[in-house]
Amino acid sequence: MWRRPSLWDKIHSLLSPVKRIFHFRASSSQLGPLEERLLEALWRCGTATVRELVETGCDDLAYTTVMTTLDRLFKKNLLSRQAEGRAFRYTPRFTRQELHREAAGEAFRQLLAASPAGSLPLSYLVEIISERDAQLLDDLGRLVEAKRRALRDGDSRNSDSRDPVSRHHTPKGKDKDIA
Amino acid sequence: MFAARGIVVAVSVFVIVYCALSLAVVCTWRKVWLGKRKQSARRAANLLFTLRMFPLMAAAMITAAFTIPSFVLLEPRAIHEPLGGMPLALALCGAALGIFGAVNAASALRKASRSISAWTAAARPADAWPCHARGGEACAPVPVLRISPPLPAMTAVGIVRPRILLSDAAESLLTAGELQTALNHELAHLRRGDNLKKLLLRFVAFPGLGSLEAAWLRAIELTADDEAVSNPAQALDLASALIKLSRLGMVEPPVDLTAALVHGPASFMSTRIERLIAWSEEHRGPSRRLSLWCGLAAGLATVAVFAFTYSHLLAQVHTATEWLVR
Repeated sequence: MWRRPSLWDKIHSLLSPVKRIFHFRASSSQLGPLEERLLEALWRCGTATVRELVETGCDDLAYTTVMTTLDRLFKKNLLSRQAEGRAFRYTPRFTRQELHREAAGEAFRQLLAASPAGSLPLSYLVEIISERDAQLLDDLGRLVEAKRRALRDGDSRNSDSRDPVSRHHTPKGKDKDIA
Repeated sequence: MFAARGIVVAVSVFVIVYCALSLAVVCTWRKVWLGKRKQSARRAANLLFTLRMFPLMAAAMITAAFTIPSFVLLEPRAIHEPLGGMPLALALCGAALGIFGAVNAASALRKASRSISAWTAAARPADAWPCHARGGEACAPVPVLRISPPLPAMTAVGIVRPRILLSDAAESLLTAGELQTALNHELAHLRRGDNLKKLLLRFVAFPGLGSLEAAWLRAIELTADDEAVSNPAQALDLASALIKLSRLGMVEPPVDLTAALVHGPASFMSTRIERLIAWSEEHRGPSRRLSLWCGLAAGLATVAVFAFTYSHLLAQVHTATEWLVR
């Protein structure tokens, strides 16, 4: 049901940039499956009212369930809303990437805070990242080798088509450094 | 007194123009940068450096071409006009900016010099390197020194006396082709005077422009990559050199005023490597240069405009400085 924006709503909207910086971390740390689903739906369509969500993707949910969940997301400062007729139109305040970044940051912060030796989890983290970087370098190294092979094959095909005799006199694989 | 007043006025105008333009650059550089994103790395690096130096250049030019002449020519010498608090405060700000810049640059120079001394403590000259950067193009002969510490693997150091340092570990890891392209990369940095530009940036430090400088640092690495290679095989050699040297140390400690081959976050290194793997002629971008005649015409037009309006402009600048002094 539509209601006039209260004084709290007005203060809430005025303080939203500040809350975005100071309170977002605490509020977004926990999301239930229903909240996640509705947030996903809003990211897909950009903006929607309760009725639009119920009619488009969430027809298995009751109108009141969607309304309550969206209200909860709004109070968690994850959605903004504007009065539209007798209902509210909800819009996500953050992109999916922003939310993921914040969630990852929160997880790391909790990990660091949980250990009495503050540097220990950090060293695990560095270790994992180093492993991942090494793996990335391995992948890139394989890519370079594959491209080199393709380049050599292309070159040999070209030289075959130009000079079918000379290929018998060129040592295989020795042209890399000369190139 | 006349000279002192003139100095205070000139420094005040310099500070006002410099700070206003720096703030304008802080607010607008991202938009300009995003608008020109698809251009070649070389053009991007030039644009970013021009944007970064624009406030200093413009402020210095306005002060030298307008403020000082207007004061010298139009200010009556006989009148002992007292200076207000505002110009004195601005002049003090200017002095503080200059001192901060000089200290910042001197500190960067000292740190770089210390690091280079430590690296080259037991350095020995490398064998004669063939001096044929990209496509047999002639290049300035630069001494290449072998150093014992594994890091930096390869780096170009020095501003007045440029040298390239190559670690023994790097030399043993790389093939001849990889070494040559890596050397070409460092030579590109030296040719473009990147270490001198880094020193200039230390001198004109301004809050809020760190991200512009970071973008420029990334752009000069991509430019040096582009200038180091001229065909897909060389691009693969350089990519392979980057991969091998990244394994020596994923993130080398950044040393000011040097141009290490491998540095920066792993994500940037993988961007460079992927870019080299997908190398094509278009990466370097068309070498569109303004013709000599266009430059000459633009220069003559500017001189003509100033010749006709200079006295009027000087009078206006003098009025403005009078207002500032009071």
